[in-house]
Amino acid sequence: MSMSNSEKVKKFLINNTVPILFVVLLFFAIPLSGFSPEYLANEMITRLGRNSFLVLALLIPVMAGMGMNFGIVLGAMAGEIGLIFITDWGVVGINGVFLAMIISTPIAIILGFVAGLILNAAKGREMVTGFMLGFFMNGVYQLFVLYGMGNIIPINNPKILLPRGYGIRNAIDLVNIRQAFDSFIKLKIGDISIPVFSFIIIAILCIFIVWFRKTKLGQDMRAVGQDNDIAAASGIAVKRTRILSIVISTVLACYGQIIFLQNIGTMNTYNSHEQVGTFAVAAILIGGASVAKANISNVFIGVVLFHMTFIVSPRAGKELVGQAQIGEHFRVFVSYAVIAISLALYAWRRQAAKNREIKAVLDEQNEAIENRGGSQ
Amino acid sequence: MKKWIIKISFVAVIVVLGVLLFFFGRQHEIIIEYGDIKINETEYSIGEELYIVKIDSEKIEIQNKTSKFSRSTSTLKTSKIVGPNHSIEVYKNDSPGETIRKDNFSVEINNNAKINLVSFINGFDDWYSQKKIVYDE
Repeated sequence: MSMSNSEKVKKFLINNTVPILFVVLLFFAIPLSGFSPEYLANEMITRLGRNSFLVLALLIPVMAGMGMNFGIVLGAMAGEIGLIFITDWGVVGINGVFLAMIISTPIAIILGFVAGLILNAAKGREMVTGFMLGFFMNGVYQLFVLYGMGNIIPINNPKILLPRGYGIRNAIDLVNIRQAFDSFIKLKIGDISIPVFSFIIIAILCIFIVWFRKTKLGQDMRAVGQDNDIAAASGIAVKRTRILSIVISTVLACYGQIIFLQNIGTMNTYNSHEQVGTFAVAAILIGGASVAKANISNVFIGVVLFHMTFIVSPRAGKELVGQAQIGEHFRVFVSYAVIAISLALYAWRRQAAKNREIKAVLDEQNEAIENRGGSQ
Repeated sequence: MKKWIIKISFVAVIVVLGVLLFFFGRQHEIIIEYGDIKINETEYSIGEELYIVKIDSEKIEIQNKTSKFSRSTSTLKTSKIVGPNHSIEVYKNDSPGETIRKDNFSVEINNNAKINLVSFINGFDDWYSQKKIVYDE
């Protein structure tokens, strides 16, 4: 049955409510902020290079039907542990970034595996479980970094150790690897500088995701994502596939956090990872993704819209009510609100689809009864 | 079996890559000492001229504290180098084409390097030494 144009428009609007809302918001906020187009373009390119990898890490669990992986916080923690080690050892530049990735990979795999096991036990409630897992692991991470490092694990550099001799300081200066990726290959067009190498890494990940979807494991994940029971009946190891999706996501998040922090140049040891999950999920949802469906374009649209809101809202808030703080609160509010709205919209759509299915079945039954009555 | 061999080889390659990254990415401190020295009752000095010490591609300006143009009273200068193998080249500021001496040196993984400039430009062999990395508060 073909849809009419008005139905198509209606469907498009319903499917893209969140991005459209943000485009409208930015349409008013950008002129209010008074930022020049060059400044906005520069900021956007920097933030795309900084954040896209982290957001891309969310795609694979969505494919496996596990929703938004709030557990990427675990990967971020693993990445930070790698960065602490390379800072202690004095490994600098691009070598330091790659070494941090190598060190943190096994940690991310172990954390991802544990998370996968737990999420398998909490089937159907993966997102809230992942969220709580992030909080729980934060405690373990703090114990490890605050008491283990310098005590059990030797840390020699006093610049990163607390004065008492063990535990890592609250802030670590990543001067040795600051923008190592970004300035490795850099292109400057006018006032806009483009971190080419970071974009190459992101492009490689995008290609990997496209390729991965076509592999046997990728197809298995899609089958698991559509229906666990049917996938199991067709011989797919559902639990193993789900665990693998979380492991891959956690490892990618670990690399994403390292890329993020090398761009920032400072690591907040105990807080840097805390809101990684929330912000990444908010970004991909703003890009038009849902809990059940997400693709690469959602990531880039989301990062652009979300971070554009981040850039312009403090200034727009200041111009509008005279206080930049309003804009700051606004952007935190926006992150959580978008997640809440998207989840509500997803639940509403699922309920509507279920109702339509029930209605169709009932109509069919009624029709059959009427036909039977007519023939008698 | 074949799968396990591939997996173990992959892990081994990653470990070797990690070691190489550590080896070639580790930062060392290099201390250039340029105070007067005495060898066999003869005193050597860099005089009052401005020297350029080029370590790999980084140029460090060195001028004796006795020079009236010098802004520093120290006879030590520190810099950072990355990786194990390096080159050093010294020339006077006013004659950049005329290299006084050029040489190579390597730093072991846990050491910092120390260069005696006076010894280096006067052609002695003991211009280079290494010291274990010690972190200061």
